[in-house]
Amino acid sequence: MIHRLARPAFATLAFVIGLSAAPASAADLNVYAAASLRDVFTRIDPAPKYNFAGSNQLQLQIERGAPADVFASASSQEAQALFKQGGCTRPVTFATNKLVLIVPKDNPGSVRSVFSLRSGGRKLAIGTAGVPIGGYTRVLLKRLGLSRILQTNTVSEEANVSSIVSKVALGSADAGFAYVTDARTVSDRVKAIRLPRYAQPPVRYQICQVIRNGINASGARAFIAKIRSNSARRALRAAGFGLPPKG
Amino acid sequence: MCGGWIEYGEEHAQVIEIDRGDFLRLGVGGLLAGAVVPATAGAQLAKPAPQDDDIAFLSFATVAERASRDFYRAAAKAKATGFTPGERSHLRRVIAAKSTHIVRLDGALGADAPLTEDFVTVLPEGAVKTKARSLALGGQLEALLVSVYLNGVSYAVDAGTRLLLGRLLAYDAQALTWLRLRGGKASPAGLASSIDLEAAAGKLDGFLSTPAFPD
Repeated sequence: MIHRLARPAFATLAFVIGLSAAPASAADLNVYAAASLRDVFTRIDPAPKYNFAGSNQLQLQIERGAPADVFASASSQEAQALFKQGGCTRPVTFATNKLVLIVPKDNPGSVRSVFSLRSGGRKLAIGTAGVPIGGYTRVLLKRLGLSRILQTNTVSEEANVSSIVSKVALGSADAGFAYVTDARTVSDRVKAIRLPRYAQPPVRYQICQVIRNGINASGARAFIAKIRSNSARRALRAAGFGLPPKG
Repeated sequence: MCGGWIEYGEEHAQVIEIDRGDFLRLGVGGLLAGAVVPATAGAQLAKPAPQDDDIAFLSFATVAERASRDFYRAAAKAKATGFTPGERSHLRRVIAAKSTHIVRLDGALGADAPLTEDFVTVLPEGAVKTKARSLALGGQLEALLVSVYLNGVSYAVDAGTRLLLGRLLAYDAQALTWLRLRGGKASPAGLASSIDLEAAAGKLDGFLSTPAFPD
């Protein structure tokens, strides 16, 4: 009798234990990633909950206790800063990118090259100084001797690269600085103009596992391994990203 | 010592073994350009503190000097080019000098220095296969540098940066003269022209590759 009554109780207990012991699913994983990774990350793994934004904003959110498990930034600065504070594991580089100048397809500002912007009087979309795309753009302009174009053109400062691309694609800006991968996603509406190689800043994406209470550690590790896998590297390459040597 | 080359240390002039023939071949302009640097080298030199767009000239220079050094390395290494032992020895000295110049440029740029391990120099197929081709390509690179330095000494805001660009101009003008003379060309009769960074960037891009980045 006791034996018979005990059966459902054991089953319930086993179920509860099973639940607590099971690894958290990918859907429980919170990935905070740079806006420029939106298309490729959701293609590589659609399961996690994503928060795409400017890397500096994401870093700030994580520092303030946001429930991120993985952080992927568009420059080493944010991920390394978080690592130095003990907020994430040692970041690894998993992709690279480069900057292009984008103009609307009909090019109303008649922008032929980045040096066309010297004449001034155009509407220009760039990232804010704190967001990686904004920092990279300023480095590039310095190396080209074109910092002054930020004074001689009407500049709209955007919080992330997606906003820059939208502005140019919609024709609200005559030109903008974006990653080549973002330009590809709207190639029907914008034209990408190459920038001199010597002036290109090294755009490196880094990824790390966030350190906090209640983290989905196994899910985070699995996601980072997936992003560094051969199939993900193929997807990144297909999306136009560059790849660091495998290591 | 080959071909009337003028050598000088970073702080003290060492003008070496120039005979009358060398003097005439190099041309008075080239010699004076070389002599200006040693003359000022003993004095306290203004250190570069680049301002505004001065960084553009230095950034271009550090990448282009690396491309130029890579050319000299390839030329010095190539077996069948027909360079004499003396000429090879000269090429090696230029490699050493350019390495020093790159360190100076990177020092002037500080945190703004490009991560040049990201760049790989791509020389055209067969560029150092013969002496003539080597001299032509080397001359192309040195002429590019000289033209950009001329632009830089005209427009750089900071005096220390201008001085560094001027010293590099003097050195590379000599290197260019050496290459031209070895190629059987006469010293240029006119004055060198400057080139703006837009045109220069287009020329330099042909020698650069960034394998870890999208192309």
